[in-house]
Amino acid sequence: MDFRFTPEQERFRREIRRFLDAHVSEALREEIATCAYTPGPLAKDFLRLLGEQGWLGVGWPKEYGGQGKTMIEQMIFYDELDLRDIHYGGLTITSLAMTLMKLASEEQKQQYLPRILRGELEICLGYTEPGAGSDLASLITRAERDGEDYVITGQKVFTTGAHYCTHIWLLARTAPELPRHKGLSIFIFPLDSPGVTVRPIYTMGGIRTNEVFLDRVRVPGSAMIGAPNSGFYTVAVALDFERIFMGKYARLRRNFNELIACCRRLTRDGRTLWGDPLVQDRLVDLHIAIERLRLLCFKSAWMVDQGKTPTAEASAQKVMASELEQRLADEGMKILGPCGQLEPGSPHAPMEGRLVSSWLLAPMMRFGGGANEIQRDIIAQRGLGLPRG
Amino acid sequence: MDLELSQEQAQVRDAARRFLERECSPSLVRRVREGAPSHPQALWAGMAEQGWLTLPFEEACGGLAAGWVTLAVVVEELGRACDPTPFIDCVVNCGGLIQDLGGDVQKQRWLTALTRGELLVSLALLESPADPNPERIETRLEAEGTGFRVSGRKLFVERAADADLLLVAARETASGRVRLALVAPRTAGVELVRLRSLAHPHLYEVRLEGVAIEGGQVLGEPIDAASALQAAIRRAAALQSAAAVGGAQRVLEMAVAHARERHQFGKPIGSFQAVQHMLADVWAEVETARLAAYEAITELEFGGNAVEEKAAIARCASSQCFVRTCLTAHQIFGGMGFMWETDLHLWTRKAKEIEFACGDVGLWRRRLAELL
Repeated sequence: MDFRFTPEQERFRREIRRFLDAHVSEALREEIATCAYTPGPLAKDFLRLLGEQGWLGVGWPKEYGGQGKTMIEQMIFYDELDLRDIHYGGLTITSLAMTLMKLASEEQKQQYLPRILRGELEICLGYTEPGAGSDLASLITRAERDGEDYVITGQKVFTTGAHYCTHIWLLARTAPELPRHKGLSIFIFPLDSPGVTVRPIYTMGGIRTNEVFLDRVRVPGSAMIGAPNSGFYTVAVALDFERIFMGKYARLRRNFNELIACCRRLTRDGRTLWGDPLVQDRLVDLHIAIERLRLLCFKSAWMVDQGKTPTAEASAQKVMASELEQRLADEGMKILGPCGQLEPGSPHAPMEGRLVSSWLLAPMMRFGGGANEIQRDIIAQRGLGLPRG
Repeated sequence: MDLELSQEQAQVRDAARRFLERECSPSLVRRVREGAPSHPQALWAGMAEQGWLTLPFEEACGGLAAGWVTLAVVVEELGRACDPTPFIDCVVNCGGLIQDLGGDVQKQRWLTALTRGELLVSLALLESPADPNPERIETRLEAEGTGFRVSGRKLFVERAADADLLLVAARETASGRVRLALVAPRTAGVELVRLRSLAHPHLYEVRLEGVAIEGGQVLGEPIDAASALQAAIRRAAALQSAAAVGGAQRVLEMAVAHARERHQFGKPIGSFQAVQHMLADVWAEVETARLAAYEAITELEFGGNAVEEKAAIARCASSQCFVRTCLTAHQIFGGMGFMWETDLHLWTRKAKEIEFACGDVGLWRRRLAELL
C-alpha cells in the first residue's frame, strides 16, 4: 500500500507546470476570468496548442494517438489546469472521447478522435429537456428514420457550451413504442447543421448556457453512436467517465490555502482573523474535508487504472466536491466579513473574489451533472445494494 | 500509488476476522463491559497465540517487526469486532515505549512477557486536565538511595486494576526530565479510583503517594522521554484511526442489513430515499476515513515527514466518522437499536472510547490548527 505519487508522476507534474508557466499568459487568464464561460480567441488558441503538443490525450491509449499514461497522470494534468482556472475541453476529452473509444465504430473513431485530440472539435451534451431533468428517460426529442438518415425534432435545455462547441452529443427517442429507457439513441452531429437554433440562457453563476431547438435536423445514420436504442446505456458509460472528473479537489485546496493566507493577513477587531479560535475551528473542519475529497479522487482514478469502475466512489466524489465547494465558499465569505461579498474586480475584494464566484456557481455543481440526490441513490443502490424505491 | 493491501496483508485480515468472529462475540464484549471478567484473559491469550502481541516489536525483542500496515490491518479488525482488549494501550503504546526507551535487560524482562500475553501494562500519562503534553507532567520521580519514589495523580488509566504494571510518566525532580517508571498497581502508596465513563468500562484515576520503586523500574538512560512520548501518541493516533474505521464499517454493514430486512409500509425501509441517503453519506464517510487512516499509516511505514499531519487528519476524520455512523445507525434501527440487549450501543460506546483515547480528538483538532 502506498499513497505517494511515483517519481515519474512527480516529474510529469513538473513538466506540465513548466509548460503552463510558459504558455498561460496573464492575458489568457484575464480573458477566461471575464468571459462568462465563453472561450475567447486566446482560449481557443490555447486549446489548440494543448492539442498540438500532445497534452490533450494524456490518458488516452497510444493507438488513438494519446500518451498512454494512467488515469492518475490524467488527473494530475487536469488538476494543474484547474489550479490556473482553465476549464475548457475537459468533458469532450475525459468522458465523450473515452465513450467513443469504447462504443463507436472504427470509422467513427477515425472521424472524431484525431480531431478531438488536436483541439479542433469540442462537443456539448444534449441530454436535459424542459420536461426531462433527473428523469432523463422521459425525454421527448425524437429522431425518426428517413431512408439512410435520421430526422431530429425537439428541444434541449441547459446545453452548456452549445454556443462555442462544434458538435452536440444528443440523446433522442428512436423507438417510442419500446419501454421508455429502451427506445433512446445517441447521435453526434455538427451544431451548424440546418435546423439547429441555439439561444442563450444567462445564469446567476455567470455561466452562459443555452437552449437548443431542433427543427427537422437531418443527420446521416452514421451519426448514431452504438446500436440503435442503446442510448441509455451509452449515456451511463459516458456518465461513469464524467463523474470521475466532476468532483475535483485541486481548486478547492487552492482556494482554501488562499483563505488561510488571507486570514493571517487581514485583521478585525484588533487581531488577525486567524487569531479567532472560532475561525480556526471552522478552517480545521474544512481542511479535513478537503483532504478526504483528495483521497477519494485518488481512489477513483486508481480504480480506473486497475480496470475497475468506480461507481459509488465517483458518485460520492461528485457529492462531496459540490457540497464542499458550497461550504468552503459560504464559510469562507463569512470568515472574511463584509469584504467577503465583493466580486472579482471590485476594490477590496479578497482572494480576487474567487469565493464569490465559487459561491455563485456552487448551486449548479450540486444539481448539475446528475443531481446529488441521484448520486446518493447510486451509492445506496449500486454501492450498498439497497432495494430500489 | 497502490491503494490495496498486499496479498499477505489481506490474508492477515481474513485470518484476523475469522479468529475474532469465533473468539470475540458481542456477548463477550458485553460481559467484559459489565466487569465479568474485566479482562478477557482467554481472548488475550488467543491473540498472543496468533502472534499479534509480537507484531510491532523488533526481532531482537522477540517481535515480528511486521510493519505498520499489517499492524493496522489487525487493529482495524479489532475495531470491527468492538474488542474489549487493551491492545493499543498495552502492546502498541506501552510495549512501544519499552522498546524505544528500555535498556536490554528491561526489554528482555518486560517485552518477552508482554508479547506472550503474560504481562499487562497500562499507560499512566494524563494528568488533570487530561493534557498529554509531556511538558505539563507534574507527577514527581524523586531519587532515594538506589531507587525512586513516585508521587502524583494520573487520570484515565485503562484497566489499572487488571494491570500488572503501570507505565507512569513522571518528572525527575533532580533533572526536570520526564522519565517513564514501571509501577505495580498493588503496591503500598497506590490508590485506584474507578471513573465511571459512558465509553470505556474500566478507567481509573491512579493516586501515587511516595510509591517506592527500584532504580531498574525506570526505563533506559537518564534522557528526557518527552519526544518518545510524542512519537508514541502520533503512532497511536494512526492506529486508533484504523480501529475507528473497522468499527464504523461493521456498524454500516449492520445498518444496511437492518434496512434491507426491516419492513414498514409494506416495503424494506432501505428502499426509502431518506434512509438510502443517510447510508450513502455514511458510506462516503467511512470510505474516506479509511483512506485517511491508511495514508497516515503508510506515512509511518515509510518514515515520511508528514506523519503528524496525516495522523491528525486521520484521527479527526475517522473518529468523527465512527461516532456519526453509530448515531445514523441508531436512527435506522430505531427502538431495536436502543434496547440494552441489542448490540449496537456496544459500538456506539466504543466510538466514544476511541474519541477520548490517549491523544483525544479535541487535542488533535487543536494540533491540526497549529499545523495549518
